[in-house]
Amino acid sequence: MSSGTPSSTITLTSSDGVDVTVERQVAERSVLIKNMLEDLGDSGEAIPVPNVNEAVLKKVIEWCTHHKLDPPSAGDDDDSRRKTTDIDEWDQKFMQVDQEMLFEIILAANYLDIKALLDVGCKTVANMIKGKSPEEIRKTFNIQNDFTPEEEDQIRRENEWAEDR
Amino acid sequence: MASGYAFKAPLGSLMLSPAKIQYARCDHFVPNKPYNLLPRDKDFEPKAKDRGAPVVCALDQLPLELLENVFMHLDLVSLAAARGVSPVIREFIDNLPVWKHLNKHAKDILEIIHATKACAFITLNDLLMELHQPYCRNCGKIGPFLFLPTCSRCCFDCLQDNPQFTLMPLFHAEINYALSRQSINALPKLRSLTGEYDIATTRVTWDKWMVSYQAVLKAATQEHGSVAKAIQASEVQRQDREKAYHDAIAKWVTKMAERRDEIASNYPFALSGSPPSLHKPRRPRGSGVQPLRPEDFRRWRFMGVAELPYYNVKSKSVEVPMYCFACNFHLKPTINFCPHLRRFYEAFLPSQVPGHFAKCISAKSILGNDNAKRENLREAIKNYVEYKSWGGIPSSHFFVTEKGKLEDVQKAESCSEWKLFDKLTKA
Repeated sequence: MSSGTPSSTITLTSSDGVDVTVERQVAERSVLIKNMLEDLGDSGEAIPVPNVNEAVLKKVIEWCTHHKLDPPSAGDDDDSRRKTTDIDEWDQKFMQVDQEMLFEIILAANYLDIKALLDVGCKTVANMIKGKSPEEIRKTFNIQNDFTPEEEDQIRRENEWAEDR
Repeated sequence: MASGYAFKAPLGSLMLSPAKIQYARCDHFVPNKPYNLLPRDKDFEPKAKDRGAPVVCALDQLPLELLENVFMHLDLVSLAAARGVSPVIREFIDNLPVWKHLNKHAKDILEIIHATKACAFITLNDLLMELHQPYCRNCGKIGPFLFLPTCSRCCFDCLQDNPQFTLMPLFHAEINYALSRQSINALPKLRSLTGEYDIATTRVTWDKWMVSYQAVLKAATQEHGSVAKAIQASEVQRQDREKAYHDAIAKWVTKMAERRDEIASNYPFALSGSPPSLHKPRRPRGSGVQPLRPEDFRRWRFMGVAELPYYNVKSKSVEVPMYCFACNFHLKPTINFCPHLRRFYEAFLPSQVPGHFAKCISAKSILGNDNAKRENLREAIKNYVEYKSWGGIPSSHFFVTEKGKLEDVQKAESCSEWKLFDKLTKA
């Protein structure tokens, strides 16, 4: 494995200037940080994470700490990756945050390149949409209804096939 | 690496196939049209009217590629609902690149998913993942089929008797495992398509919900603690139902006796049928369902499976799995699944076939000089010519070169193997 001692820690600086110290193994769940450490070597300096604020960064680190022992995913063409439509219990609890936070976590996961967290986040949003009517979805995400009544009628007709389930 | 003969067998006639869809009850379905969620009305183009920002909502925070990721995790029915949210989202969903990809490489499966109503639980992500990997989820060999209830690839072997790929009618599951309405609603279910399955030995004329056997067992374990307890509970329910029925009948008989005179005067023909107010109690729901036998599962086994091509992401091409000619050569005329015939149904990708030929015992035995072997071969060929391979299902044969290239059989007729085959069939 890497030359550094396993217990070594690194420091991340959030967008609002707060330093957060994490175990290297935890931080390496992020492909971005992992690559950065590999390229630059461990200089001991704090790594800036300009797109993520402290609250979100702490949340992401919480997730990474819980999942630090997971086998790393081997990229897109990984055959062994079993699809799971449902999210595991801990992740479900972890994702019980307000919408804004949820989207921030997804964006942070995207930026930091943590595929598993990104998947969990997207699945959580998908679950918020699942099984709802258009009106309910609008309410959930506070979307304005831009359709005229005639258009809505047309859409309803288009979607008739999906109703008898 | 060695060259040899292989064939592709379209097995659609055994299982779910586009041909069976025409009997399905889905009027909106237009065959041979690119599959979008629905046939779109060309004249209907809701435009972003006089609004500045397209969608002002929470979803707006996500960049489009992440929004796409979210929609990929939605089942197709929810996706249809999401289309109705706003014109911008509708445009976005209808123009997802994945539609074009699926329409080009796996159109049949989309149509089947639609017709069997499996679209209520299959997500685009699941489907894409199975399209892009060729292995059976159970044994890891090449799996040319897709088992719809779990949206997982499977091979012919595992399909035969593996409980993971076993299907049963929802009604049987409900009665035999005493499942509550709630757990039934949570099960992923698909509609049966009428038609003939399994070399026409199973003729399906009914249109019912089908569920995966494993999912049923899981639900039963959750509800009753264990499968055995669930079966016990169903037995108790059965007895209760019968008892209630017999009580109701007894009541009915006494009631009839009490009002005998009245009935006789009011309804002179009451002997041939009961008066409206005194209908005989009906048999309870589910009393016709027998306890499950293993052969029942055999009857239903192909009703949730369809062929799925494999899309190789690296070479950007579709690869259709094929079967070794020599291995299937010995096959008796029926697809009557004997355990010792296991390996005959093994499929290979075109690139794997030469590797298989190099160590295939059957291919070697065909080329061998042993007289006894040849005698066996003659017998096998007789069968083969009579029934063709795979129980009469037409298949196309290829000559596969050492490098995995497919060639026409005619071109390769100089091959000793083919000459031998020719000589023996004429003899």
